Amino acid sequence: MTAYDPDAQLMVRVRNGDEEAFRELVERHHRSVIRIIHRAIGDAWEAEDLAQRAFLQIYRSAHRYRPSAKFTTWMYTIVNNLVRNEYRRLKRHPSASLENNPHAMHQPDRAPTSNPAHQVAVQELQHRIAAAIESLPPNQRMAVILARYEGLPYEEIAVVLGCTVPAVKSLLHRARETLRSRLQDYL
Amino acid sequence: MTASQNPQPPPDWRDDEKLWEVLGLARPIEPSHGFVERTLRRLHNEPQPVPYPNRLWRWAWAGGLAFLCLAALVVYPQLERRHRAELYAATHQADYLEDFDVIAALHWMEDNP
Repeated sequence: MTAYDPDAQLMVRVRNGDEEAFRELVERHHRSVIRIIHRAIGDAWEAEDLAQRAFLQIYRSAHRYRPSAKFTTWMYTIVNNLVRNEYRRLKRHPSASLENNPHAMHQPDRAPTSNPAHQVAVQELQHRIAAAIESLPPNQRMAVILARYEGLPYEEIAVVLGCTVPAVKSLLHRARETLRSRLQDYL
Repeated sequence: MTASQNPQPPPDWRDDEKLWEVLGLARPIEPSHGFVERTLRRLHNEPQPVPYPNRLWRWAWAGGLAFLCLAALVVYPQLERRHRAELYAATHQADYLEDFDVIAALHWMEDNP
């Protein structure tokens, strides 16, 4: 990225120990980081904990960041690694799985509606979408989240996942097949 | 309920535009109040992990020490055994030499009555 990239400039300041710059980085990116993690692991409380860990890691690894790399790509790579570690942890300790976690409740839909039947239908759809995404294998899940909800180009997703662009297309193709069958009733 | 970010599907989603739309109806996710402050507080409260090079050196030292201990356990008894064998051989070699001296003396006495 160029020297005009505000994130890169903030990271240079963070590298020099400027906490105000770090606060600004967190302010700018915490929403997308929490969104990605929440959609990946389906647990609001755990998502915020992991997001905090991601930002602490960004702060402590600031010396390793090169301004030639796009900051968000670097940040999403850290997020992806943390999420993968979390999957591994859940695999080792199934008792900590999301089904048994009271915090795994999805956030309620806050859209105002006067029709309770409609609200129930909306919540049912949202639940089905979340379940369909959570049923995908880790790499497919992350590819869908980054492409659909964060609007990342395939080239950037490839860097985050550590694969090629054709591999990303293949992941998304397979993910679409699964999602189509799981959300058949709504298509 | 509003569609999530990125309303335009990429070209390879052209046959799955409906799926793209449906996925956009997912539950909106918002961070809880005070997330940024909590993150900064955690930055101050959580102990800094040991930097990687230090950690690497620590492991290298521990590994080296463990190797030395193992080597000492394996090598010392072998050295001890070899030392004993050499001592035994040296002792026996000395006896043989004495025997040869006796034989040589007997031959000399036979030749020089």
